[in-house]
Amino acid sequence: MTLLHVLDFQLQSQARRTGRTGFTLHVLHIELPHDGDRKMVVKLYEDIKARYPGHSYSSIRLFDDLNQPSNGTTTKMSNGPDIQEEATSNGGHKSYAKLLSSLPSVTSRTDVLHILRMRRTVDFACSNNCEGILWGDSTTRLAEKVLAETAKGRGFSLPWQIADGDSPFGVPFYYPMRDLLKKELVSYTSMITPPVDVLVALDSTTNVAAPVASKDGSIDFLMKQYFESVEEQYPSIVANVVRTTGKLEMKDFSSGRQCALCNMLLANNPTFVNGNSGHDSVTDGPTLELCYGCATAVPPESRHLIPPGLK
Amino acid sequence: MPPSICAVCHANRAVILRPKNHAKLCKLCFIQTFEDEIHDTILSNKLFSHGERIAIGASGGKDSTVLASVLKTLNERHNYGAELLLLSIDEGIKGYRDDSLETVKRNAEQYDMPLTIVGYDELYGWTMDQVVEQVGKKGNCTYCGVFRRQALDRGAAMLGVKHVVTGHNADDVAETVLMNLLRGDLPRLSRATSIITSTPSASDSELTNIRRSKPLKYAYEKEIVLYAHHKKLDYFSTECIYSPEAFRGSARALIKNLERIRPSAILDIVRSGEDMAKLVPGATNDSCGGNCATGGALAVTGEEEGEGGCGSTGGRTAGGDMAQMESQLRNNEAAEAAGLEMEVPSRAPAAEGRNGSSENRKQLPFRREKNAPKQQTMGKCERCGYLSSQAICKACMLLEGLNKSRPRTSIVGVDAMR
Ligand SMILES: [Zn+2]
Ligand SMILES: [Zn+2]
Ligand SMILES: [Zn+2]
Repeated sequence: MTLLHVLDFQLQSQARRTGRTGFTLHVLHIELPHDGDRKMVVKLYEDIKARYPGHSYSSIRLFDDLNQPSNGTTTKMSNGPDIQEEATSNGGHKSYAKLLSSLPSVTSRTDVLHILRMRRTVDFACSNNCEGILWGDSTTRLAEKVLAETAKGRGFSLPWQIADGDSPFGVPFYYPMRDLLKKELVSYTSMITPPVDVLVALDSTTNVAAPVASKDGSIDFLMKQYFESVEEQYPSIVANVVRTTGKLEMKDFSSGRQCALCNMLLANNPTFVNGNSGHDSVTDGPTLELCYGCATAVPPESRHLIPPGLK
Repeated sequence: MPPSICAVCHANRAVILRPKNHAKLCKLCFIQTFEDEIHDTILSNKLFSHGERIAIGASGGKDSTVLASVLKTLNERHNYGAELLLLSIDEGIKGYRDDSLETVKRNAEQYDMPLTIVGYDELYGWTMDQVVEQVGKKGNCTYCGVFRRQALDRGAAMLGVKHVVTGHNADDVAETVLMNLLRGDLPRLSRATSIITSTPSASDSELTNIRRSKPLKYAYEKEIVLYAHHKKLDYFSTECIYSPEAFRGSARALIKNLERIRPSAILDIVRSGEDMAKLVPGATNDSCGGNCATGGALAVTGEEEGEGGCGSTGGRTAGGDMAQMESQLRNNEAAEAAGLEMEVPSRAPAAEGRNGSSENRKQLPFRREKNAPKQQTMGKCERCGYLSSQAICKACMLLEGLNKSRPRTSIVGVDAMR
């Protein structure tokens, strides 16, 4: 939300100064299955569109509920250039739902849901000839990601997950708000006039007293709680986590092989799992190559549900 | 509910739910599996060579007691041909170490292994109790960590041993990975994940070339406790009375919560740490976190390494204090953002040296080398001969501070002690 506001402002002033703009925005909203009241979500989206006109907008659902009749996965709401979104372009997003519901834990479901959302975003950006994807992650969010991905066995992919620039997807990723704390964003949005607070989706965790981590929680959620509390006392440490992780090098893996689910580049020994590991071997048939993190998240019996890769 | 049957032998009743993967096992199969996995770790990483003399860093705690017991069993079962010795450090902590040393002495008899005890007081002229009396409870883990690392090497040199094994388990390694992410210390993160570390061999000192390895690196703390319990091992179960500092405490709490959410998380963090170690600037491709099939990965360690601290649970690093580091980082930021009151301070990639373990810089009165773990030129400490990137090693620096209030002592040279 903050990102949109700032970019909108920049575009407007650029247009005022020069009569043209250096870039155009395409705002994409991906609706997740658990986003709550659908009407509220759609209203929010429409309100945002009304507040910041002049950009292209799209809203797509990550997938339809399994038990709902599916007639196209796109809610077309574009008032810019018409966006065509073929429901069949990605092998049918029904398989997303099947894959997710087959996963054994909240952690795995949250993990894979985020990956699918990213893939969907990349798909969308590619089919709309976007030159890059801007993510709204704050420093705090990136620090959460660093520790959560580490805990999920995805440490190898961190350089690609938090860096500006090339991504393994062929579309560059940028994190324009990487230097801002979450609490800074919150206070910034509270100062905008006219107020935008009605436009900011309520973060479901923000006002909830931190429950003790239990089996119902996911690793992502645990880290979110953790860094929200660290941010209070130690904001510089939060920023330092992200800065430090940014120093990890993107090693060039000559193999050119990518994980079938998250698309991250695989090292030359992707299938190596220490004999003492709690999981099964990472290889699963000749066609599906998974990274350690995805193999941890998706048990062997669910792997046939992994949707085919991009393009 | 009918009793569960062991998932391995399919005969006996399962009495153990493995913390690592929730497999249901009978007692015998659990013990066998646990030992097999350690054996597998030793083989696949080529930790031992035939006929090697190996010192087990023994604290009397569960980790090193289990390590000694398992190594004795495996040495006989698989004919490693290793000569196993016990090496204990007496930090001089009353009510903690003196009791645990009694346990080690019993272990030495039970396992029929010779025991050597090296004391901080004889090496440094200070017991930890005296150090704490001098510097207070805060920051004393720094002293303990630095002194302990040297003490194990010195003890090994006295015994003429080239290899020391320690009881670090998967929980310890995972904790250190998270802690060093929080502290922003990539070199240390990378060293902590190596299963074998070695001091560079450039120098000919007796104190270099001593290998360290962690055969329990992939073993869960909970399984170590279970193993000790079912084997009825005699161990000492009190934590060090000097508690860990904020970073480690914070990381430890996270690990416990993560394990509850997903049991494999501990190993997953270890794996992430190994993978990230390969991406640390300066790491070479063959530095594969000790996890490559050739086992050829030797991470270079020096005095900077903080592993092997105090306590029955093994590694207690000289942890930085979160608040201290926060204020240090803030000062840096404030300096950068001076005059930009209403603007957000830029956190663009910082100059080298802004990161790193700032607590060292704060406490130590000498300039610290910037992050350059591998290419550091290692020399010898002018005072004690220990491996050091500075003219004076860390332990001697700490001693100098301590001794200001007391008649001068120096570290007893190795040769003098033999
Ligand atoms: Zn993957
Ligand atoms: Zn059995
Ligand atoms: Zn020295």
